[in-house]
Amino acid sequence: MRELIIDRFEETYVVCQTPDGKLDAFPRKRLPENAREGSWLVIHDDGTVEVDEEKTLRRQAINMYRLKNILKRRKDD
Amino acid sequence: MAKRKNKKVNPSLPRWVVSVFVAIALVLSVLTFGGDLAGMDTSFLQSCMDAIDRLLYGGPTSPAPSLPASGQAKVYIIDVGQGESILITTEERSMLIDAGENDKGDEVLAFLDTLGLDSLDYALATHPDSDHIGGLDTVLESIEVGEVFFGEIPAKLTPTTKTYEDVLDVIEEKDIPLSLAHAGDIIDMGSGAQLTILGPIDPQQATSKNNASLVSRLDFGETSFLFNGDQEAPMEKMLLENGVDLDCDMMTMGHHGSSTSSTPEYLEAVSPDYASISCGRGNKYGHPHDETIENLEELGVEYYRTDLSGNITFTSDGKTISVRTEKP
Repeated sequence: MRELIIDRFEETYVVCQTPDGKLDAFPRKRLPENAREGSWLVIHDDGTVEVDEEKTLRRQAINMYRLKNILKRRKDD
Repeated sequence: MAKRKNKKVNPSLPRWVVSVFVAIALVLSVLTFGGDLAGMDTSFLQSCMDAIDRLLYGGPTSPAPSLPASGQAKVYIIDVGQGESILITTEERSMLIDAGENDKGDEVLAFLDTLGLDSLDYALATHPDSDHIGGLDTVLESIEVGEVFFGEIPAKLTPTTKTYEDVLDVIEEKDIPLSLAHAGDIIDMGSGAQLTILGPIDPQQATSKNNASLVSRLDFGETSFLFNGDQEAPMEKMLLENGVDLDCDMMTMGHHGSSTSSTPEYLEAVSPDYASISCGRGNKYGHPHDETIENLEELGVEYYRTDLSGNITFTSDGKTISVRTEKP
């Protein structure tokens, strides 16, 4: 089992990153329907792919909060 | 700061062609040396050697890129392979728009180094895809940047990649001022030039980060440049429907020349004389797409591709635009 994060969609490909930032791309048709940009994917040993919704939402919330804080600090200066 | 790489022989040339021209160049250099000693005019021989240099090494077609002279503004389309990076300079200010993939930060820095730029006034990230912001952390880490601009991204598209987090890390660590840019914002580029954010009109309508791309135009004197990021047809349509002034002399082709962008209606509204396509040689996405090239050719637009021409420099004197490419 391994994890990949969806960076973007390019034509028939989904472009992903490993958690340490390495690029990986594979055909879009292998993705489950609920996959979107930002999704954390779990690639099982048998090749099936599923979205880790809980981790996706948690990471998105963390990054939204970080961005808001950076912007707020700027406003407060 | 990273240094320029040594010149490499154009990989598209067969070896025998390279050998023949190297042999000719050797003969020419001996003749030129002898001619110089004998006091003969060797300018023709030197021109021939320059031509061979261009053929073998892919350039330069004119002297190395330089900062704008008095009364000029320059737009450099930096060759970062499959990705995009654009530098705008006037005599007073500089702005980097995007910085290519994760491994391209050093190449962007090398380009800035060639120009003698060791700081930037602004860096603008059109959208947080790795082929646009990948090298940005390296740039922000290595040189002083006065202010960074992001576009607004719908919450459901918030990036979770290491690439995005690396950029946030360096902004936080170096306490670089960060702002969200919106349609209607104007950034003063000095020397009478201004960059106006045109889109996205409504970023919350974006269903992909591409369509949340910041779209901007640079006006300098009577000349104008349009930077489209990776926006696609739906956002182009929104700009058209809102009556935004898109008419520009030069445009970057949206999304690396993909057929998902630059619709005929949009191209007609921009009616550019020049266009650039940022794409990598032999990329797996087929960029630029045939439809895009056909549309450009139908409209008689003079277009340049980074995969073929390397770095591309557009120079404006406020009235006209001239183009220089790294490779012939």
